[in-house]
Amino acid sequence: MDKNKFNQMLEAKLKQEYEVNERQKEKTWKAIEDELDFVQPKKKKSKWVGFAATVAAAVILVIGLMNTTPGYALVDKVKEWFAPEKDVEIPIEGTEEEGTSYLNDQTEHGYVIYVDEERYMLEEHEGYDIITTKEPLPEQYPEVFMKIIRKKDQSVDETISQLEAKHGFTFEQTAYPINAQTARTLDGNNWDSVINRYYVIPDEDGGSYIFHQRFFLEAEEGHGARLDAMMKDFEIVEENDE
Amino acid sequence: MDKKTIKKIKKGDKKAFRALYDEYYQAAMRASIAMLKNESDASDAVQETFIRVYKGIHTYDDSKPFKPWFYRILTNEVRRLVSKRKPETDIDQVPQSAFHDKSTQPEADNEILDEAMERLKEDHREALVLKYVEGLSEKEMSSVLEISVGAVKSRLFQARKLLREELRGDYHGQEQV
Repeated sequence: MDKNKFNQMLEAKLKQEYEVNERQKEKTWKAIEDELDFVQPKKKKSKWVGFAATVAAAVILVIGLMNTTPGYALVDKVKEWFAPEKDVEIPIEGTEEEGTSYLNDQTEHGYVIYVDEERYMLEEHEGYDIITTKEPLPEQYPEVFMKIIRKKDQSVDETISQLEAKHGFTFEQTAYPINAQTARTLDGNNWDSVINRYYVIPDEDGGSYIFHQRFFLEAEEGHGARLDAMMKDFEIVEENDE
Repeated sequence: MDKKTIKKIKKGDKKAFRALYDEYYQAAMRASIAMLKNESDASDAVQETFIRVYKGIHTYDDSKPFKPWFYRILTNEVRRLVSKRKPETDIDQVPQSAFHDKSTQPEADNEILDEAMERLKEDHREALVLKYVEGLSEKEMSSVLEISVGAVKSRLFQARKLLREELRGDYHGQEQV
């Protein structure tokens, strides 16, 4: 038998189609799922990176004890104390996901926030900042974002009244992820039903901040949890008048 | 595997990972069975392969083809299983005479080929499976096996030569395949 014919025969005999045993396939998938769920990220305490960050954390802690609203800085120099990045743990579906968040200095809007830049990015727009997914979601997925809107001349009460009138819902005080007046809408019970969450907090200068999150039902434990985690790392700083 | 799906898997999307599983499961099982000659071991290798793929997907460079990356993980898993079972059933070390016992001599061509394949060294068997079962190009094989294209050609040449010799042995000097 010549070489080519041998090769052809070899291919034909070796390449017999493996008939998938669906039961075995699902059993294997279940084992894979279990294993992947079983693997939990190593738990470690969130830490500030570097000495400056430790100082900033201490300041925030003290402020936190004095005030139940999100931590804010007493002086504009505090922003200099924020570490450029920090390790974070995000609780997602019963596990904790480790990651690194990066400082986004929005001092001109009175705040700084740590953003999970592996997945999201912060963009500035007229009148608001927006955190969206770094990679655009495929068309079939509803929008995912968190807008941060400062209403300099509008108190928390005024902002709440305006939003309640516009959307027909009622705000309530909640403590998670931050102390805020909160309202939520859900437009159905499908995987892609849109959820809007609003949080309103004072801006410490007579005005208010609105956090408007939008994602979809199936993403509540994913994007929803990550957006909440980023909110926890939102800090008000005094505007720099220089 | 398209880049969008890979990106979604990198973000931890299990649905996307299931899509990859559906696309690659059959080929992975076929290759593993061809290399391990044991469905249970093959299933273990495939299971571990997908776990490693998921855990290691962040290391995959999506500017390069996915298929060789996947098969490199699969091949490593198969090797790991073979080395684990070596002390008990190293098929490379089984005396040739064990396969020439007339009472167990297979009659079907497929069985003859299977047994001849089993008697090949692991790296030769691997090369033949990647080439003839999975249809990888020599360039892709070079990436999977982490050897040069020249070394792939040489390994395939040796593997075919040895397989022909094994088959001649089974047929008492008559090449049937």
